[in-house]
Amino acid sequence: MIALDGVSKRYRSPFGRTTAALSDLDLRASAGEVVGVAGPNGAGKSTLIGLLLGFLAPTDGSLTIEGLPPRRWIERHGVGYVPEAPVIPPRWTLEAAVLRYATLADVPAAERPARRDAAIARLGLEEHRRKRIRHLSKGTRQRTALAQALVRRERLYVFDEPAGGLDPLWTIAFRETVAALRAPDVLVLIASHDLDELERTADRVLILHHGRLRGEVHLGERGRDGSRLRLVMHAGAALVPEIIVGARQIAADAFEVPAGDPEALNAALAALIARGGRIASLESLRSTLEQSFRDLVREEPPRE
Amino acid sequence: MSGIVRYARWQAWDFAVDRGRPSLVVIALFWLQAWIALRGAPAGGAADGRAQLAALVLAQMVPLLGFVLALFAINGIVSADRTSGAFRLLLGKPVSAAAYYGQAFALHGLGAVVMGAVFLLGFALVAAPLQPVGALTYFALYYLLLGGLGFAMSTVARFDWASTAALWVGSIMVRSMLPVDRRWWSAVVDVVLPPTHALSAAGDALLAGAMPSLADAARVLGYGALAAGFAVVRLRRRPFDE
Repeated sequence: MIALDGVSKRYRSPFGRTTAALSDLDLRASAGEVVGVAGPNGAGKSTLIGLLLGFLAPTDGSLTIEGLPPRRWIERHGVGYVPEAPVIPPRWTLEAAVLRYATLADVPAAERPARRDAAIARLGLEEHRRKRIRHLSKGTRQRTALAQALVRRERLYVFDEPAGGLDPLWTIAFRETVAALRAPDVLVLIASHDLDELERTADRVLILHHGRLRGEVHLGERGRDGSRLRLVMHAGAALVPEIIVGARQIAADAFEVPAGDPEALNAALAALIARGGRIASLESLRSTLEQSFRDLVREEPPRE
Repeated sequence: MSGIVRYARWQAWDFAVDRGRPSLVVIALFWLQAWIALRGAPAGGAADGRAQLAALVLAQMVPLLGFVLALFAINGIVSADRTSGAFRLLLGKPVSAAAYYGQAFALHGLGAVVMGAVFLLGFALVAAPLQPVGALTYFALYYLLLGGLGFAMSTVARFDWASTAALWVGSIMVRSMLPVDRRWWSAVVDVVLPPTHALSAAGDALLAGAMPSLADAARVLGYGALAAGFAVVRLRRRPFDE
């Protein structure tokens, strides 16, 4: 659905100084996927989204959505987009804002009030619906932006730091929303600093650093169900691969082991101890992504 | 009917709230000025002194108010959304920037003329009855020229109202300094600068109840259409956040 080939974006200051925001980026993303984009500040995430929405043009390379330039595709189909800091004119009321965006999204007039009400209810915004945007908290504004993105079923959703202003309850609700958006003909793209959130929602995460694609982490079921453990041995590390089936050595004394069935795990650990092994720690290895992120971005110090 | 066309009523509402209200304040000041200028002027008789004075006052007020109404109507039409970032949610919808802002330009023009009509209605009440068609046409021409220029500036500059006003006033000043004998460079300057002189000439004719010359009307309409066309093409071709 989305194809980037050798895409670069450089900004030029009025004094002629050039800054590379993205360099030589190749990427494919297909309908049916939830794709995360992670990276430190200044990695190029927002530039990538600006390019995807056609608000920016690549300096080099090509970027298409289903073979069309992004702007033309969006003008034809629309996109469910939530920016990092959504700006809605402060004079509008919340319900008028959602209705306006539904109008622009070409929702039929007869369906518009019902769609607006459903989106407002889904995001728990009923008590705020008559308030002006200027009187809403940051989190409520963020939910309003989410409501306008959900007012119509789209084939492409782009969320830029979507959980930024949300409290933990609404962060969970956002996760459920993304799960509900999953469909064979829908692509969801989420750019976020929050690796935990990406790990829970995305199928794969692209890691950007200094404007380059440093790697891609396929999370699949393993990443999302948190079913691996990190086992660190105090003594007897050599026994681990022999006793625990599926153990993978990740350091001299550390292993990634499947959590699996608790009975089998306890039996294996008992056997390990019985043969002289000594466990230093055992913890849930939820963040495969975090480890990969560290590995991929640590070789260079931050620019700032 | 597409979403953008249906959205026109929201854009019209935004005009009324954000630009119509301040326009009404200015219009009220003009009414007050007209009332002060005309109080005590005798009405009736073969040579109606009050009507003649009212026509003079109107001829003074319409160009000034036309300038203010057009500037109010066009100020920040594109640049305000770009600066604030409000365009991100708007243009995520299946709508082109050229269609969205082009429609806003047209509606704001209609709004400016309606504001002009409100002024004329009040003027007729506080000053003297008048024939409104000429003055309304003048307001429309003013918007087409100054508004078209402001629309173009709003796609390229942040301080579009200031740069539009500066270009307008600068154009009047430069024109007054052009040599009488037509040298090649003064002919170029004459074509490039907004035809403020043609607008004045067309407006004077309209306020006098006559038809403006075809040349003046064509220059005003042509320049305004070219400027607005430039804005639409730029919105169509250039990425919005560049």
